[in-house]
Amino acid sequence: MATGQLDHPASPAREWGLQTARRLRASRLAALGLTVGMVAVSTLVVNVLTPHVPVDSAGVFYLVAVLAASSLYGLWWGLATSLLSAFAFNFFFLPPAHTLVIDSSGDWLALAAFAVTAVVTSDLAARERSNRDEAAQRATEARLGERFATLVAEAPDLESVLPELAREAAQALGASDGIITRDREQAHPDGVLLELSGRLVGELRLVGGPPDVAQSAPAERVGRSLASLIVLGEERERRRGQQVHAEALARSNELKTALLRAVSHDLRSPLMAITTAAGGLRYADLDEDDRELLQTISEQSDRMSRMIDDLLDLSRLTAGALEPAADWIDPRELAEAAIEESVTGEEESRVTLAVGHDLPLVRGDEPQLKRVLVNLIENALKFSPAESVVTVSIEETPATVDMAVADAGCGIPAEDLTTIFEPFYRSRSHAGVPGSGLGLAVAMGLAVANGCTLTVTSEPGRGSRFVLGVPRDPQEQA
Amino acid sequence: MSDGPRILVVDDERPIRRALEVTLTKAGYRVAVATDGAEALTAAALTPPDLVILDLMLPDADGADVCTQLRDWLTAPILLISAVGEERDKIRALDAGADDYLTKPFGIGELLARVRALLRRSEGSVPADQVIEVGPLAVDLPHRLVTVNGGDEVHLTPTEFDLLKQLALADGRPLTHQMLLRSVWGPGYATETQLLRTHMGRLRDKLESHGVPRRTIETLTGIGYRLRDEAGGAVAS
Repeated sequence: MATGQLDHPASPAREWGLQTARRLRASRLAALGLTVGMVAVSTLVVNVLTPHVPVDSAGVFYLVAVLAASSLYGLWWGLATSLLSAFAFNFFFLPPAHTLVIDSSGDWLALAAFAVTAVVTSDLAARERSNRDEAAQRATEARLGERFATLVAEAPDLESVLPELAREAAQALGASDGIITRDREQAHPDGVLLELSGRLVGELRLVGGPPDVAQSAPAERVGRSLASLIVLGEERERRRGQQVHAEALARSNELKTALLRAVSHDLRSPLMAITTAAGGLRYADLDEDDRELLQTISEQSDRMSRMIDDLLDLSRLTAGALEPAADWIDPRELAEAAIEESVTGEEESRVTLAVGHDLPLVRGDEPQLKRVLVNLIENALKFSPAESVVTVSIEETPATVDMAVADAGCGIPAEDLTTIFEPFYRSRSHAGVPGSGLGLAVAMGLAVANGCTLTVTSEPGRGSRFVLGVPRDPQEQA
Repeated sequence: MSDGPRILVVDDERPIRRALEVTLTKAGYRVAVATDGAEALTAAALTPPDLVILDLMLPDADGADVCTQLRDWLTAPILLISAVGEERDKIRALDAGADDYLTKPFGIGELLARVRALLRRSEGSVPADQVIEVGPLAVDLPHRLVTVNGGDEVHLTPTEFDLLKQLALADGRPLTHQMLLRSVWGPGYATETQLLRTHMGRLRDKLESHGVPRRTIETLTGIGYRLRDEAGGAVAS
């Protein structure tokens, strides 16, 4: 203890530790010596005074010894001192002197009054001392708590500050060192439980402390204080972790968006150059075979361009980089625009629109929802016989405006209905039909991003029906 | 060939620039090229072009800003070239004075048709006191009358007529939602898209009931509308 004291002279933890240690280790021998000494001094003083004052009055001086013993060592030492004083007073001064016999009833009364006064005084003194000690102890505990809080607040993380917290707490409790172990199921007998509202956050093991200090009231208070700081530190670390995670996520999303923009530009530019260059050859003097080759270049570039669009949209959807810009949409106008984009020349008669009048407007990202319908219509045209009809219809339900695309194709096997919206899904029965296998996945992703539903029902051999359910606006306008 | 209309092609991608240059030259136009916004402004100032083909994504500048700067003094039409999903940029550029746009990848046939239409229109704007004919449709501006096939009158509300009038005056150029809302309803209505959607639907219903295809008013998804003449552009009588 003494050597440790020199290391941290200003530490409140050490100061408090010193006091506790002094209290716990105060020598009983010293108390005995002091008590006997003070009674002896009182006897001498009374002896000097007795020729001049009545012996009963001079006896009051013994109260000084009782008072001193009570103040310094508490009630029991005070009582012992008062008993010893009574014996000394009786033996040396009350007649017959040098015996413990009292022959005057007046002397009995004096001795009794003296004893009662001694008891009351020593009790009062002891209480006073106890209150003072308690206050001092609370004050040092408060300083210790402050010190702990500063340590935790300034530390980069909780784990790194635990050894120092443990050492200071241990020294405050009179031990030479301590170890904090977190996430303990049960505490060791020498350990101080670190408990907060019934939750065991860890334990403080004391090294070289006085016996039973781990179970003392100060140890319990220090344990509570440590426990709340550890919980606070854990919470702070968790929040900091969340913040770091959120920042990293935002940065990564920005990066993905920028990357996708760059990639989309880089992938499309060569295709654009191929298309334009092939188009430039329209004035060249080419024979029929060459024209066919040129046609192939143009057509396949277009096809590749569509696939790149699908892939990029899917990447954007996966990266969360495709944010819908919602605005008012006329469902009929949307369907008409989608049909117009999906069909070319000879296919025009294959798609019919069945729609009522005065449909409510809906809200959504117009280009994105059109893309959903275009993908559905193209899908329907591709997977149904060349002469069959694809019907686009719009119906109101209480909660949605349903935009349906129905074909008279071969249908989708029941076991495939859940997988057709997955990227790169290709039905085994359509191995020969060209496509990226991304159209439906993109449609589903865009529908969901816009708060819509996309469902499918199918009857093998009869055809399939895809329904885009766009939620109706609660305050829709006429 | 050497005295054909002058076209300025602005694109940072050399292969595209070159392909456009070759194709347009073969089609009889005089072609100048620029690789970025600054070069485009200089080239246009030195020899004012009759038409500008402008890539919306340039390395040094935003296409819309280049449009604004060109429009300060240049009346020649501006045709934008843009990619899929750049609706917001297209709207900004159209608001800044661009006349039309093409979305990549486009066919050369489509490009040449747009170039011809834009050059034809720029020869003289449609006077506001005339009858504008688009396909079977005749819009009599002074009398606020719309007839189909030379006599069958379509009864429109004032708002519906104003919508059709704006589209007819634009002479095949795309009009953004905001442009239509501002010119028909007023500057305070630029974001009231639901008004536009509702009245546009009714206008198409009425025209359709007189045998005019709904798609005569073309929907430019996410951007706006334009009046389309299947026979090849609006004609002022």
